[in-house]
Amino acid sequence: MALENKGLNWIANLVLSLFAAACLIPFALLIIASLSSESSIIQNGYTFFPSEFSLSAYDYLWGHSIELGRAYGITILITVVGTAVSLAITSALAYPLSRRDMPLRNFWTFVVFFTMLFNGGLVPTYLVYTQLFDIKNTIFGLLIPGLLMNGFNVLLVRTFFLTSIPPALIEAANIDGAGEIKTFYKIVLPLSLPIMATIGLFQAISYWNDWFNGLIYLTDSRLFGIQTILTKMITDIQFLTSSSNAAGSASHAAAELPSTSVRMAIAAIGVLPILIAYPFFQKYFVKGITIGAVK
Amino acid sequence: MGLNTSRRWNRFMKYSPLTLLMLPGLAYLLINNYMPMFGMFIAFKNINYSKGILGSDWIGFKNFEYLFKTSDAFIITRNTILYNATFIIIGTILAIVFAILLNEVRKKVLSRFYQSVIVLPHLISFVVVGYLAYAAFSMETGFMNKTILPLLGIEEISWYTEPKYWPYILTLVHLWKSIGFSCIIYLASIISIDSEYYEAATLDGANKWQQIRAITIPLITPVIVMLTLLGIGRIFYSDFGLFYQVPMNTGMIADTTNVIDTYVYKGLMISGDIGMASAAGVYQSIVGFVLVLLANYVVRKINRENALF
Amino acid sequence: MKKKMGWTSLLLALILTLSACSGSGSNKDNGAVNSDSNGESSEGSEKPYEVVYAYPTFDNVPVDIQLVQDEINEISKAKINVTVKLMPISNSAYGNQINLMMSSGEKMDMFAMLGNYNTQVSKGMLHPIGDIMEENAQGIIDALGPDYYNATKVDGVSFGVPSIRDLAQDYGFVMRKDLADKYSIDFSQIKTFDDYGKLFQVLKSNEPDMVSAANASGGSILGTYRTYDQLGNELGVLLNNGLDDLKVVNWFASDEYENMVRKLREWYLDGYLLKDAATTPESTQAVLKSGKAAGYFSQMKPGFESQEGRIVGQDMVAVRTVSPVAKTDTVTNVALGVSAKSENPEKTLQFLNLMYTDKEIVNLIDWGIEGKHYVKADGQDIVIRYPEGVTGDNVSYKNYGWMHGNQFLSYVFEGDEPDVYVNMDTFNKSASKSKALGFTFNGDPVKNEIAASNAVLDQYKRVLESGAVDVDKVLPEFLKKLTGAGIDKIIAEKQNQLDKWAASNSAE
Repeated sequence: MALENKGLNWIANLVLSLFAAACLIPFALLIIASLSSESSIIQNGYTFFPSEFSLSAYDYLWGHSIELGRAYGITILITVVGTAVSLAITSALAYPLSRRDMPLRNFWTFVVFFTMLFNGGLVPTYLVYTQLFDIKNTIFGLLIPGLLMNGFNVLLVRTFFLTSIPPALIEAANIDGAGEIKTFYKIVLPLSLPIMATIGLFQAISYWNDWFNGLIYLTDSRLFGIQTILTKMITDIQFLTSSSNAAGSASHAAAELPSTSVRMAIAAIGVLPILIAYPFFQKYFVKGITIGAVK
Repeated sequence: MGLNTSRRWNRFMKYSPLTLLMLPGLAYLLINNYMPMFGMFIAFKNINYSKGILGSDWIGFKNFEYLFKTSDAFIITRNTILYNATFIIIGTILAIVFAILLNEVRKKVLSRFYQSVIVLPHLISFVVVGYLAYAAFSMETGFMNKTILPLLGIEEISWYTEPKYWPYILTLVHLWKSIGFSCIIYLASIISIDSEYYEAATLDGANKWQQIRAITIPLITPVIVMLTLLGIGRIFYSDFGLFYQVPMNTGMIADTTNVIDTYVYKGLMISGDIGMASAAGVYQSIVGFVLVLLANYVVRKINRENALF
Repeated sequence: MKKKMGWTSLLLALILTLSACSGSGSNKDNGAVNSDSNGESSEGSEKPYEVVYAYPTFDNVPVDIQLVQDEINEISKAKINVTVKLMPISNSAYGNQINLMMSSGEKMDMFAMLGNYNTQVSKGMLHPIGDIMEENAQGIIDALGPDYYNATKVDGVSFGVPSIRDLAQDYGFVMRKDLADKYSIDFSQIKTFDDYGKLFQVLKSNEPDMVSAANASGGSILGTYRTYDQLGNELGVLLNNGLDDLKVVNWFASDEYENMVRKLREWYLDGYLLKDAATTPESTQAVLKSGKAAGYFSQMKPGFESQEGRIVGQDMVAVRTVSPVAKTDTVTNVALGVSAKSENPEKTLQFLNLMYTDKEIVNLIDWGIEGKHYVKADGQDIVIRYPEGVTGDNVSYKNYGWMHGNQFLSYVFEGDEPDVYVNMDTFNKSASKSKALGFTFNGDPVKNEIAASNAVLDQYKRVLESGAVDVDKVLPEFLKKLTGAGIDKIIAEKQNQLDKWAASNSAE
């Protein structure tokens, strides 16, 4: 028995370390490319052993350090606030949907699900948010549209509650006189830390990675978050390096951009902070919560 | 009669705290999703900005025509469906396998290391993934042509002009990028399974494999069903970045890389016609909707509990 | 319940949409407008009208934009009682933002267009400004000259004006001067497209590790090298740059095109072109800088060699095989227009007029404030440079002269020939003119066919024009798909519109 478990442990380590390598190697290549000189990339392609190292990409980014610093601040604020609010309203909506005795449960689930299939598209959404709520060029433009909550997470959490929280537990709490809302945050939520950590992570990633809201709901670039700036840089470089643009004259501006290595450096500085924050979420991936003990 | 209303009243009161919990979320869905949905009528209009969006002329299904106009209509539809079906099937299986394996890793440090590393690809934008793929497949400087193929004694391959390799490449890139993410979802449900079940099974002499089959899989089935249904609902959509940036938008391999989203993008890039863009969205949504209703119906027939609604 | 829910949301959505549409009339900025339209007579004391000017930017928004804007406003307020609000929008969001601002009725009076003048006209985004211009802003027309002004007319009215820069183009090949000198290349021998083969052969035999012609990412080897008038969108063109007749043909089915792609294929097989041409993610200039290629095909203008030389960091020399020609597309390529939603097109146009006639305004927009963002070069009147300690990287204001009005009024940056704009003016005036100069195609009636054809072009054009594929196999396939997408219908429509345009033109 023990032998068999050990065997599985070995297989698990083998498979996972291979996959981990597959994830890490391209990332390492990216970092090295960001440190390579422009002409060595063009001459020899991306390689782990570039013929010439250069810090020009980071120099270029350093030249924008004030802007990037402010953008990091905005993104961190948005990510923290957004994730917290999102966890609250997502779990609050998901819990009643998971209760088998909840009236109209299927209907409301469908209401949630439907939003994942149909959307009005960019223009109508923009009209709702700018005309009705006037969030253009405010921080709410980064926080609310599209990101605050999504049907996917709601259904995920609902399914989790459905499968992992025994109804008997809730009944017991009710009999003890705990109100529904109290039961929810005193009993259900503490038992759901893994899924909360999971969607918390998803939300944090999607806030961190979002550049689209910035480009749509902001024209004032002082409010841009880090990914908006980075995406803007990448697409501007892409536009300037392509000759197919209608205004050939635009290539003026391409003058001194160390384009390839900058793109890689941009990717690197966009990813690193969230990697640093990752262990925070992992804390809650605790194995073996014994629900039985409560029963 | 009076008894009936008071019973209803009681019922309403009993569930009012739960209803209250739902309110913020539902309000958000109303604003963020349902109100803009009304704007789908744009798909049936020839938008002229000086007339305004409401004042523009109705043109029926004219905005939809370009979706079927091309001789490639069949190919792009086929590609979209086949890729998505492959992604759903292989992606689900691998994610579950990885989640189970992750759960078996004894050393905490290692387990945490794997957990962080496998979501790394998810954090890199597709533009950059495109360059990394180029680093591997470039004709002159690519890693495949310069290092791997010579080792195997194979002649160099012009990857970006040979359609036959791309279904494999794109599937690999997709799995590489998304597995970590879905693996984490399954892992969260696996680690929340009551350990009593496993203890009881061990006492009964069940081995690991039997435990996985009899306990783990059935208990995470609702999650599997849900994720699969969602995948089916979006089967006409495709990950634009994957299909546009990774093949570097190269024409010769379009037979195996062109999907509905890339076609729409290429067609409308110049004109930026919002009516036609909206038409594509409506088309994709409706097909997905019909398919998901069917799939949910099938699930319901098999096991009522597992159906989404 | 279900039904009820449906109705409420429908109702809400309706209210919302109505509010969205009336939104344009009830915006915050209204105060200024109303007082303006009512009190045309009481000029001087009235609040100045604010023109919001949106344009794309390829860099970060300059730190000092507010300072520059204040300086501009001081002048424009005194002259025409108008102030301007510069609204640079990141190029990656520009197309979307213009669409969104137009649909929501946000305040925006004037915007720049890069290569999409004709689609913006057919989408109803632009106010017909021709009449106002002819009455009140003659300065713009004078600066442009009648020929180029007429090129902006759609159905007899102008909807926008090009910035004044190179309005015609010639076409050729630009390459490193050191290589040309070293192998004593005789450019007078190169007269046709086919002749480039001889040049490439010399280069290849002497520099075996270097390719002859590079291309930009997303572009083909031909790049912007054109021997035809594309009439708005390349789907249906006039051969020989429209100098011969008004017969719209399918360029990709022409003998000339076939010959060109066959040549390119030959050159590709001979190793003259990048093997990765169809997928390269680099700019041509970067590829040249790295020493991997010798030159590239391009559209050109006076001073082109020195412009490219500055970017590549080496002296360049160019050979031109298509002589200068002006076409509607080369004129309206970069254009400024007044939004159809502008509350006061007249005032907006008065400001636009300043951008074409007022040297101070032009230089403020293009270069910023003298002494702070630039200084006059020693003893020079029109040549400028950065002040001590300021470089192109850290200057706190920069902009794109070719986009904003009359570039010919702008200072010349040190390093360019001082008379570059004089030369360009001569170039514009002396260029031959396509017979269809002034014809703007309205693609609306065939927009489905255009979308389908554009998707086909995107698939085939670049690979064919990079020599990467077998012409015998791929060209027929390309043409077949174009036919399937309905290119013939587009050509017929174009021919029809062009004939009508020609008839009304000759009647005038």
